Amino acid sequence: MVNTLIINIVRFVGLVLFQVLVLDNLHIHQLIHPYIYPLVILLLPLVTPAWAVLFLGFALGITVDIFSDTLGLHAAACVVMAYLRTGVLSILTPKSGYDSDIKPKIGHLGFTWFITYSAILVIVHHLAFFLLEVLSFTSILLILQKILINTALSLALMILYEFVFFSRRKRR
Amino acid sequence: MRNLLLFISRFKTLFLFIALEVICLFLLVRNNAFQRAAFLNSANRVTGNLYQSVDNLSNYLTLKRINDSLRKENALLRQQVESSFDCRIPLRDTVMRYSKDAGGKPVYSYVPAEVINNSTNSLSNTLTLNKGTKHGVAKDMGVMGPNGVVGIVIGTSPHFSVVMSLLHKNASISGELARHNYVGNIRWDGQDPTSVQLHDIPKHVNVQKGDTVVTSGYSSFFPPGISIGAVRKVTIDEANNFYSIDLRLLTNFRSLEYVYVADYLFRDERRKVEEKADG
Repeated sequence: MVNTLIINIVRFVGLVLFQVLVLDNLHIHQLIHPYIYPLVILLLPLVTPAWAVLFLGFALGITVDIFSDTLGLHAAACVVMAYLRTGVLSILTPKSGYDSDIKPKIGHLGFTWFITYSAILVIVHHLAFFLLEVLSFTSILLILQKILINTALSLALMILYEFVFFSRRKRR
Repeated sequence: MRNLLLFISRFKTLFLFIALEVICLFLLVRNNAFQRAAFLNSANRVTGNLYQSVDNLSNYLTLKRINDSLRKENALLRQQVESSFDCRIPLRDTVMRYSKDAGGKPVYSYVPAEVINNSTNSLSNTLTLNKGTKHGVAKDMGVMGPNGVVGIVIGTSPHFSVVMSLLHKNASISGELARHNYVGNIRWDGQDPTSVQLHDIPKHVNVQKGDTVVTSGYSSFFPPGISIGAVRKVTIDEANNFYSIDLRLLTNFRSLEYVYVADYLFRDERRKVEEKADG
């Protein structure tokens, strides 16, 4: 229990720092701006109560917002994502149900499960984020391009993270 | 009453979601107003110091480029030294008379600063500088780099400040075609971080590709004559009487390292007199 708490705190701090110090400084092309920090919400334990996920999403978004001077923007996108997480998890429940020691990770529930789960929520996050960023539909084509490209990039980064910090479910 | 409580507890997640979302949108809309910095911005102590120490590290990697750009700027300044007090821009109308009337005193003073955080990929790009109110930086001061205009200060703390880049959907400064003295409005359409758009230039002006655009000096953000960009493409809009002009920015916003904050020494006086005139 305490172990899980520490791992999640370290992940929160580490991913936020990686986001604002490395990914936000990738000046490659104006369309490219991937976000890896939503992974903090994705990887929360399955037993986390819905209200706690919401509050954590809000805190995560505000933290990133303070760094990038966009107060409210990341927070709004994260809260939407956090709210839908519970629903997506229950839709994706395996036939045998979730065991108590299972985590939403590749090593526990498999590659296909993780891709589906994270793709849905990352698209939700990016859709909310890039639409709220303009607060209008004037350059909708540009926004759609941004959403598509960055969803793919963010997902690739998250899967990379999953393989770097790979953990298999302990057999009892 | 009991039913109400039951109802609330049944949908408590939904209510919490709506409440948090309303807070977010309130914050978002509130700091979306023109030139309003978020009250929690990257100029605070924690984020500022973090950005500063990472920048100290990464500066070693770009030392050569920084040296080159500083050397070039030195050469440029040396050329201008003789004329810098007796301004090199032709006097016209009332814009530069300030400097004469000020009795040879400079009209602007400059605070050199280092860019410790910089974004170009979003629609509301900002920069964080390592100078703040303790060094004389205040809100609404213009910021320029070695090659021209960079942005306007929107938030400060004692040691850091946040600058709204020219590449911000709310940024709007007045620019002037150097060859014709026609003044227009410069805004960014959010597409390309190497170009901005010049609006409100009437169709009878003969605009050529390559014409330079400089600051006009009508606003108190920048001294007049600071370069902004060169005309890249001129499109004639049939619907109205103005051109739509694409400018190639002279400043490369992706590689900004050192900038100057321009402090207009007559700011308060000017503001006071303008407020009085507005009634």
